Amino acid sequence: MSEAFVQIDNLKKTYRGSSHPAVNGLNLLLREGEIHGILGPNGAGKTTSIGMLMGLIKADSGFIHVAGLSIPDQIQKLKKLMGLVPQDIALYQTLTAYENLNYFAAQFNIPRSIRKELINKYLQRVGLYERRNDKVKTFSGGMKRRVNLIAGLLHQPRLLILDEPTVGTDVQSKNMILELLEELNQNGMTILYTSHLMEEAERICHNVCIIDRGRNIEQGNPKELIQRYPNCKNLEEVFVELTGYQIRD
Amino acid sequence: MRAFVADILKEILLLVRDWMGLIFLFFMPILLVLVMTLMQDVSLHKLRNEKVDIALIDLDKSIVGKAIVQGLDSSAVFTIHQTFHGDTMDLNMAQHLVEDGEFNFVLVIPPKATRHMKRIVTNEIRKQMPTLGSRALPIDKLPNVDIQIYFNPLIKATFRQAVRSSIYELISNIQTQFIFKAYTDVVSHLSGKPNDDDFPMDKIHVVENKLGSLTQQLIPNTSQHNVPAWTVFAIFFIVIPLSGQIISERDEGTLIRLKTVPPLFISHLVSRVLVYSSIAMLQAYVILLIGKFALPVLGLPLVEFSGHLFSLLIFSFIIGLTATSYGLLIAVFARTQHQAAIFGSVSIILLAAMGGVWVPYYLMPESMQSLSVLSPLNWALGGYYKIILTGSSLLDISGEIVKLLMIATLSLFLAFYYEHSKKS
Repeated sequence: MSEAFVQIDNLKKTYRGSSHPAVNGLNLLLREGEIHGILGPNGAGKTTSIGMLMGLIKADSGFIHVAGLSIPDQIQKLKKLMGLVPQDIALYQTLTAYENLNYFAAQFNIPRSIRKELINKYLQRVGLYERRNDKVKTFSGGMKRRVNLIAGLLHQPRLLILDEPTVGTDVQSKNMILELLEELNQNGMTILYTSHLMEEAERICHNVCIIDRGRNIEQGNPKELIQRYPNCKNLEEVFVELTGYQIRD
Repeated sequence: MRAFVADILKEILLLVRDWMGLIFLFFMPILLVLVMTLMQDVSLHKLRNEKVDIALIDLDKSIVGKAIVQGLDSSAVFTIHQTFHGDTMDLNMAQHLVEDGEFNFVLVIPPKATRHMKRIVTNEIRKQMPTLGSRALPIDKLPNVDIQIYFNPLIKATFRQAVRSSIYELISNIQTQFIFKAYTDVVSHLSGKPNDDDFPMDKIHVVENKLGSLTQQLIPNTSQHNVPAWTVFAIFFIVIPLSGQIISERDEGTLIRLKTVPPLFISHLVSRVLVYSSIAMLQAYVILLIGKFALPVLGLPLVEFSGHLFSLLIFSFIIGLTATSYGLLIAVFARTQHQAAIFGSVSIILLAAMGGVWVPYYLMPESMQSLSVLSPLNWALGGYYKIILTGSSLLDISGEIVKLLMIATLSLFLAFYYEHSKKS
């Protein structure tokens, strides 16, 4: 683990027309080469935080630095370094898996021959090579998730940001996605990942940050966190201990 | 450049695979051109060329009767019928046919009309030249020549007036001929020189002269109206598949992904605008071909294209640019595809109606004509008229081009402003 790669300080955001802040003083430190999880219940501010990190949403206050560059001012320089896997299946349904991946790879100016090689490699890795010429709309939820993941990493970003990448997938797809993330991390990719699935986070994250109502309430290594709360046997119990049983919107 | 080419190819693929979109862009306007041209051709033909049907019963069967039949029949306004389904009409039958709406008028030329008219003329000469021998009769002792007109009360007064005026004109001609003949007979008798000449009626003419330039009087035929009109409509209907596509990108999350890739977001929009505006050129070309080759097959007037194809295509591209920008504006403001489709289609239909697409501009009441010039579809249609009918160049239609580009710029500005404001 090395120096801070992503640093978020006192980040705040309240949407127009809302009386409650979506993000209310979030702090985060992410070192290069680690898998960091942002965990929180529904409406905790995970997606808004990622939106601000990607320069898609303007923060009210606070600052974000990635690789020493400021967001949103220097976002254009950072786009090649960062890859996003959104929570939604951000693919064109009437294009084939290959056409989708080819299009998004071309946006990163990857030459055609390299694009082809990379796309085929990753499609084989996630078991979709045989279906590469099928339209995405014919895929199952799990298959779409796998293509969605590949679309965000074809340009080999230094920082891969994933917003709930395993939502709605079966056990097999989930395993395949998590294995791929671990493999990418072993090859040096830094991963920031949001989820409300504690089991997943406990399995792959080096560090996690638990947030609720827009602010971080605990952070650290999953094992250390479990030890910090003696009544809890796993990360999920820590999470419930910290965020309570109240149902969120 | 690689990203831009990929954007263009992606847009083409998305469009080609959107069957409903293609139906909207190509099949619908072709169908509209065919149906509307057929419908309007029948009604406009009636409006412009329909003659008034007159049932005529000639009981005179001599000079007056023949002259009236021939005079009315050769006019551009009346068609004379003396038989119905092969049967010679009598007064009773003709009156029933007018009541039934088969004819607008029945005209009855009384028996001995020629003989009576000649007697009136001769009597007038005798009054003026008592030395000729025979004495003139008092006017009340002479028979009247009463030409009866029966008409359907629904017939406009202007038509009745037209029939009456035509008959008076024909009778005046005949009277003139009779008077001239009577006088020349007297002169021949006195001078001993025979003279069989008629009065030279053909030396007096009413000459019609058109004033004003052709461009001020652009009255296209049904094909010349419908082909450009539905092309404009089809180009503006790009709004529906385009806004649908953008909203689907927003709903499915691809819009978020597009905002995180290195090329500026505007480059994706530019590629989209280029593809859709090029589609507009293709639409114009296809519909023009329909006008040139398919309409004549259906017995409709041919679209005689007197302009340059280059001007037509470039102007279509500019219309496409305006339509695409408007589509972007709708997509940015609409929350759902349904909302965009409803607002997009209703606004285009209204602007089309206002702009003279459905009912040609020149057939609109004056109040609507002044409203019509506010519609971008009217500017587009006006430009097409000028290119197609008068062979105008792009420079000649620069007014229309500037107005369309202003709407495009305004739409894009509002779309970007609103989209940017969403970020905060």
